[in-house]
Amino acid sequence: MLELRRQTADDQALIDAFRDGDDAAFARIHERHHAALERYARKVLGRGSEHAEDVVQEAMLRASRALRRDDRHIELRPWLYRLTRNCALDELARVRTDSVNVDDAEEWGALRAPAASEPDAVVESRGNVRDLLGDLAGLPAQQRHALLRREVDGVSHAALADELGVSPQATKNLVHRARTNLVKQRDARSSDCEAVRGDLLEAHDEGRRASAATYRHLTTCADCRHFRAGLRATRRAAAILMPMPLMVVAVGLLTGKAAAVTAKGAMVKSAATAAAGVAVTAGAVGVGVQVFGPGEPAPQSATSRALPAGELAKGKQVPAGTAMVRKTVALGRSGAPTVTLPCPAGTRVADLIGARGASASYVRGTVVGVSHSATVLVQPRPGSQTTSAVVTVLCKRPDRTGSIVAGRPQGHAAGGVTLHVKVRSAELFQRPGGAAVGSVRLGQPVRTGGAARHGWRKVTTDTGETGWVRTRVVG
Amino acid sequence: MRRSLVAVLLIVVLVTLAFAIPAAASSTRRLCARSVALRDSPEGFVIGRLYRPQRLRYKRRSANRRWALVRTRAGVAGWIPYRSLCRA
Repeated sequence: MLELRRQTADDQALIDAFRDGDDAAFARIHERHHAALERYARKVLGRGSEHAEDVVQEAMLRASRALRRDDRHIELRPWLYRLTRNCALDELARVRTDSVNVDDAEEWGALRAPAASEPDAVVESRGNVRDLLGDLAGLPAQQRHALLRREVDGVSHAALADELGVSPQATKNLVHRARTNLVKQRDARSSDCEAVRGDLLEAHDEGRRASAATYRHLTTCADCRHFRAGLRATRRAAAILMPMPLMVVAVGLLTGKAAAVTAKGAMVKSAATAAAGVAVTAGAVGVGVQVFGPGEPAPQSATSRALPAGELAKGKQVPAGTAMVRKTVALGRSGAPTVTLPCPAGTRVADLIGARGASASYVRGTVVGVSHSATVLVQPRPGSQTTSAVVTVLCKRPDRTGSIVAGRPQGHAAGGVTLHVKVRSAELFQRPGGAAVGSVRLGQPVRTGGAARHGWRKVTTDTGETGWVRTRVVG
Repeated sequence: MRRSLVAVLLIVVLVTLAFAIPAAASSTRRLCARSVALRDSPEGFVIGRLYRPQRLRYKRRSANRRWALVRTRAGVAGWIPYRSLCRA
């Protein structure tokens, strides 16, 4: 402590001498601090020392200019650290945006993490570094400094408070806010575009601002920004369609044809309302249930045993006998919401295709292949700031055996018969009383070749799984 | 003396059974994969989408040891790849 006070007093004397024109005094300041500053810069940069030296040189240059600019009191040591930190961040930003491709920077120690031996893990690791640098650069200056000094340099809150001229509690708050902001930024980046767009659509519809998480995501996602711009353009275009009553009346009064013009305005309004009604009917509006029937472009890609090719790419036509039903669900704080998605007439519930932005599952009453509508329990992902989720269900018309599996041979095996599962759910066993190989569900058609043992029957399900069930399960 | 020894042995056996039987029947496991599809059967339909971290009731492992039968906290039972569960 005593040493620190003595050093501070010496620093102040050197500053005074430098300000009086003694250049050697600054050389002394440089000699005294440059080694510690280089160590600090190296920790911030996390790579070669030549860059740390450059950063410290730049910081010293700025310091010499600033010291002679005025006579304000300066706590030299923390002030030099702040300058070095700013220069190091400038260097990181320069590297990030200009000169070094992170993907090619094999020499970066941080990117050669021991766990990242797999190619995809390496790519992910590089992406994480890139994103973290961006997030750090986006933090307010004081939060960034506090976080880096704590995380990188391991400085105590008391020393940090001294540097920043605030109380130790304030530095704790700064570090806490910085960490929170980094987490929020990361969550916003990883949140699903569909969910974000759902929130934008709902906010647009209700005439309110979208959530903070959505706005954070917009700062990192160009596609979603483009989507929002499209929404605004649509609103402006819709405004043009609306008749302006005052103007219509004024024109009418001026021309003496008020009644006729008003009638015309009413027609325009009716046409706009009708057009909007058609759009809603066709499922073009994002609020409420949307149904994408055969021939319509699929709103998202899907993989399912109910699809003829086993999969469907986004934008491709929904095949005959199938439909995709989806709805945007608001995720409130009051608990997990359930949403009911009705399948079109003649179809049954098949796969839960997606619940972007949340965990989701059919509730116990919804039975695949049997139910006409799917009731889905939607739960926000723990720690996620997402305020909405898009739930999509695939519906399929069953064949004459009651199966919703596509491309299944219609004939029966020689001597076999088709039975149906009579219980809500049962397990399928490798052999009577043996290990389980799968499950069967209520109404599922199964084929049996006649093999049976005391109370057990061998069956093959419509999804191709073969095993034993208790005799009472099928009939 | 012999009677007390029998009583102690009986208590030990009962306590052991009390802990051993539920552990063998099912246990709570955490989901380690970022996201996973919950299926009604290993080759069947998707009935749920789960994200980590999530606690699941682990019931049994499939005969080929690639799938795990689990039950979610919401009471929905289904199959997920065994490797998506955290190691016990």
